[in-house]
Amino acid sequence: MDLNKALNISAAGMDAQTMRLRVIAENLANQDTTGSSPGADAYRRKTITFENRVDAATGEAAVQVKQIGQDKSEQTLRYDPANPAANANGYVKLPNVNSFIEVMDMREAERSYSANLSVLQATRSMLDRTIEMLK
Amino acid sequence: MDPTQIGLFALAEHRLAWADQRQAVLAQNIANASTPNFQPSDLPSFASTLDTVARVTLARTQPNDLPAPGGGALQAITEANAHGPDGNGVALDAELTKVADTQTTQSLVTAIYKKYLTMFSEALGHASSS
Repeated sequence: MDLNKALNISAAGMDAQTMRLRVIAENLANQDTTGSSPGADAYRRKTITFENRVDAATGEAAVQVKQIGQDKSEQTLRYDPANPAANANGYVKLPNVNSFIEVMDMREAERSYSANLSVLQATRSMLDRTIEMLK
Repeated sequence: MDPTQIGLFALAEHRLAWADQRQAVLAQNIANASTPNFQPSDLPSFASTLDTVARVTLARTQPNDLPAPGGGALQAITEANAHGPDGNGVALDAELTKVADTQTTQSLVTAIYKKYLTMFSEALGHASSS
């Protein structure tokens, strides 16, 4: 039945947005994580992409996480010779996490999650009304 | 008495099937609001699908008979409107408006269906339950 299909699709959408929030949380939590050995790279911001893939088990297309990748952008340097991750010249690589970008991304994930939730509730009330016809 | 042979019931059934399918299509659009290069789709309006569902179709007497063309599931139309730099064309507000519209339609049809059934049971001499 199409309404059950709609429920599954919305649930998959919420699942994908939850994963996105998890990645954002990880990025924000690691925004000060530097490397542990001299000259080592600091934490690299993680990125997440989605795709609409057909599930082999059900034969239905649903949104899924395609890949969790890394932001390859340049890491800024800070002069801090006392840091264990400082290179020979005394510079430490800092994570390429921008908290503004993460917070905006979080807003978008939140908005998308609640949109999926609204559809789920709408579908549920439609199912309820269909069952109501039997009474 | 076969209720599907009565015009209003048959029409209500088609409309409910349309609303069901549209809800699945819209759920797919909203779930893919962040998928790169995803374009939203929608079912054709109910009025334009009426002549295809009401048309006489070929009976399938054996399982390996080919289905009649045009019968069965409605075809969703993909809309091409890129909004963001990632090529995604989903506008959440527009999609949620369509969801609300589908919900209202479904609510209306189920209410009419129930009312019509009540009229039948009254005509048959049963006291109305509601």
